Amino acid sequence: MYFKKNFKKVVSLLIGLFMLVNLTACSSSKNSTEKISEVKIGAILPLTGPASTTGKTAKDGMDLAVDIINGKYDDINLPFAKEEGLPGLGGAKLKIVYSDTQGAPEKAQTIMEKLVNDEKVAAVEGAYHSSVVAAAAIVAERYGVPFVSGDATSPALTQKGYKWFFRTCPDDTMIADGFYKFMADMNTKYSANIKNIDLIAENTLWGTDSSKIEKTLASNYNYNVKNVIPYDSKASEFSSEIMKVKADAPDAVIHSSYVADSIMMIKQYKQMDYAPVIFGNGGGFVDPSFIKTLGKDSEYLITRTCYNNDVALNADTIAKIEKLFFDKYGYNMVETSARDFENTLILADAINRAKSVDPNAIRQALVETNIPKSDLIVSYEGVKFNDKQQNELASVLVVQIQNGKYTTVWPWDRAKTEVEWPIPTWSKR
Amino acid sequence: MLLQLLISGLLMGSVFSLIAVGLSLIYGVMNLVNFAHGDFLMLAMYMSYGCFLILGLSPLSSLPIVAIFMFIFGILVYKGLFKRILKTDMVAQMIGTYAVGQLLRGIIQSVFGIEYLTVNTSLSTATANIDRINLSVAQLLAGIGAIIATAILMIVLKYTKVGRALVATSQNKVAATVMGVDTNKMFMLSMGIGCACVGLAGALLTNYYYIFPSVGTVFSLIAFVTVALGGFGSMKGAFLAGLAIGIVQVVGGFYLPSEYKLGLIGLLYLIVTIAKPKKLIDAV
Repeated sequence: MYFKKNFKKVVSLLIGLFMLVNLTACSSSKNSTEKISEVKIGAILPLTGPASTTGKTAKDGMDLAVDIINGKYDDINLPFAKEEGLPGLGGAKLKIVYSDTQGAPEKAQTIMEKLVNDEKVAAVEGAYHSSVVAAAAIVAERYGVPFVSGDATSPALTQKGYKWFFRTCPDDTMIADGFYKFMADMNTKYSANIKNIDLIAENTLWGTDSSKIEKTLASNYNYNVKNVIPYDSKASEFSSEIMKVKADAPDAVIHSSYVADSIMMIKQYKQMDYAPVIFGNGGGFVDPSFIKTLGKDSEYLITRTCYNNDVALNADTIAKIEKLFFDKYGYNMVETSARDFENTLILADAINRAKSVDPNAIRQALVETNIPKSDLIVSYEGVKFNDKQQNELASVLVVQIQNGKYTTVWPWDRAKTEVEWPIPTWSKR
Repeated sequence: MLLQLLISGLLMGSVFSLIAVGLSLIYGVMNLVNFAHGDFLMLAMYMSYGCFLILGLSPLSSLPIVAIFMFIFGILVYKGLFKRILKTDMVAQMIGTYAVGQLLRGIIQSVFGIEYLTVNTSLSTATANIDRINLSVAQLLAGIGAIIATAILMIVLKYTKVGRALVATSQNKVAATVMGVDTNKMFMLSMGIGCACVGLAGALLTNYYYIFPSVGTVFSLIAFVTVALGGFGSMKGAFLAGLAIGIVQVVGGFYLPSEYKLGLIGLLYLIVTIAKPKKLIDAV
C-alpha cells in the first residue's frame, strides 16, 4: 500500500519533469533572440584504435578552427578570425565535444545519441571512416540534427538523399574525375599521350571501390583501362603485381595503396628498372612517412590531395595557419587536418547565418551556403551544396614530389610550378 | 618473363628459407612453437638500422655484428624466459612466446616510434640488369647470402660434433640424453643459432626492405607455413619449402589474380600435406 502510494508520486513527478523538459526545449527553440553564450557542436572521430593517428590530425584541425573562431586574429584573412566568437549569435563561443568512434560503425549510434540527447549539440561533424559516417547519418536523420562531414569520401553517403547529412569534401567520384581531368590537361599541354591505364588497388573496401569508380569514369574521357590489378596489401612483396603492369606497358598506372605496400611497390618498380607514369590516389602516397622513407626514389611521383601548403591562392593566409598549426602541435598540417579545419569553419558559417542553434534554421543556412574560394585554405573552388547536399565545388589538387616536397602542379591556376615531364627512367634520376 | 619471375621468386624464397630454417631448428630441438620469431626478425632489422644510424655501418658490414648480437640475444632469451616457458603446456608456451613478441614490438615502438624507416646506401639502390632480367643488387645479395648461410648451417649440423648432437636432440631427446648429450645446452644453442639465422635474414633484408615495428608479422606467417610445408623440424625441408613458396608467390601471383597469392601458399600447403611431405623431401 505504502509502495503504491509512493509509486504514484514518482510517476506524477516523472510526468511533471517530462513536461518541464519539453517546455524548456520549446522555449529554447522559440526564443532564438535570447542570448546564447556558447554553441556546442559534436565531433565523432577515431581517437583510439588503428586510425588514431589520422583521428588526431583531424581533431587538431578542428581545434585550430575553434581557436580562429573564438579568438581574435587581425592578420588572418579568414571568416571569424578578426572577431571573437560568432557575430550572428552575439559573439557566442564555439565548443566542440569530441566522441571516440574507434573507427567502429557499431559505436556510431550510441555516441551520436549521447551527443544529441546529453550534450544537446547543435550539429555534428566527422567521422573519417565512411562506414562510421553511414551509421551515424542514420541517427542524425532520426533526431533531425545537421551532420556535416569533411573527411569521408564514399559516394554512397550523399546518394541516399538524407535530409540532415552534408559533405564539404569531394567524394571518390569527384576525386577520380579530377585525376582524369588532370590527365586530359596533360595530354593537351605536354602531349603526354595518356590513353591506356592500369589500375592497381588494394583489395579491401577503399581500393575496390576506388578502382571500380576509376574504371567506370575512364570511358567518359576515352581512356582505356587495360587491367585492374587488385592485391593483398599484407603481402611481403609485390613483384608479380609490378610485372603485370610492366607486361601491360600502360601509359599511366593509378595506385590505390596504403603506406607499407606503396613504399614496397615503388622500391620494386625500381628493382625491375621500370619507370611508368605513376599516379597515387592519395592513401599511402600522402602519408607523412612516404617521402621520408623513399627519399630520392619518391621524386617525380604524382598524387592527389585536397590541401597543399604551396598553392598560390591565399598563400599568405595558408602560411599563417600553417605556422599556428605547427606552433601548437609540432608537426606540419596534413590533408585531414586541413579538410576538418575547413569543415568546422563551414559549419560555423551556417550556424552564424542561422543566428540560432535551432536545427531547422542551421539546416536551412547550410542549404544556402555560398562560400567563395578566397575564404578557403583547401583546394575547393568554393562551398555550395547541390540537391544531394554534396559540396559541388569540392575539388582536388594534383601534386608532384619535387626536391623532396609535395609541389602543386595542377590545376594550372593553383600550380606552384610546372610538371616535371616526361618522367625520366630510373637510371637518369 | 618467366625467367625473371623465377629468379625473383627464388631470391625472395631464399630469404623465407633462412628465416624458416631458424624457426624449424628451434621447433625441432625444443619442440617450441616460437610465435616471437617474426619479432626477432624485426629486432634484427632495427639492430642493423641502429648500426647504420649510430656507427655508420652499412647493413652488409654490420651483418656479423647483428648475427652475433642475435645469437647472444637468443641464448639470453632462452635462459631468462623460454627455459621457464618450456616447463608449461603447449598452449601456455605459444601464448608465452607471443607475449615476448608483443613486448619486443612495444619496446621498439617506444624507442623508434611508428615510422617507416629505410637504410639508403649506394648498395641498396643499385640494380643489376643482365639480359633483360632486372634485379636489385641488394636482393641478389640477400638471396645468395641466405643460401650460403643455410648451406653453412647444414654442413655444421651434418659434419660437426655439436651439429650432430643438435640433430640427435631434434630426433630423439631421450636417446640423445642417454648418449651423453646435454640437451639443456642444445636447447640454448638452438635458440642462439635460430636467432642468428633470423639476424642474418634481418640484416640482409634491411638493404632493401622497409623497417617497421610490425614488419615481422608479414614474414612470420610465411615462416610458419614454410616450416609446416617442409615437415616440422626439418632443416632441408624448410629450406626447399622457402624456395618453393617464393616461386609460387611470384610466378603464381603473376599468372593468376595477385590478390590470391597468399591463398596460393595455403593451397600449396594443403596439396603437399595430402601428398605426405616427408616422402617428397626425402625423394629430392
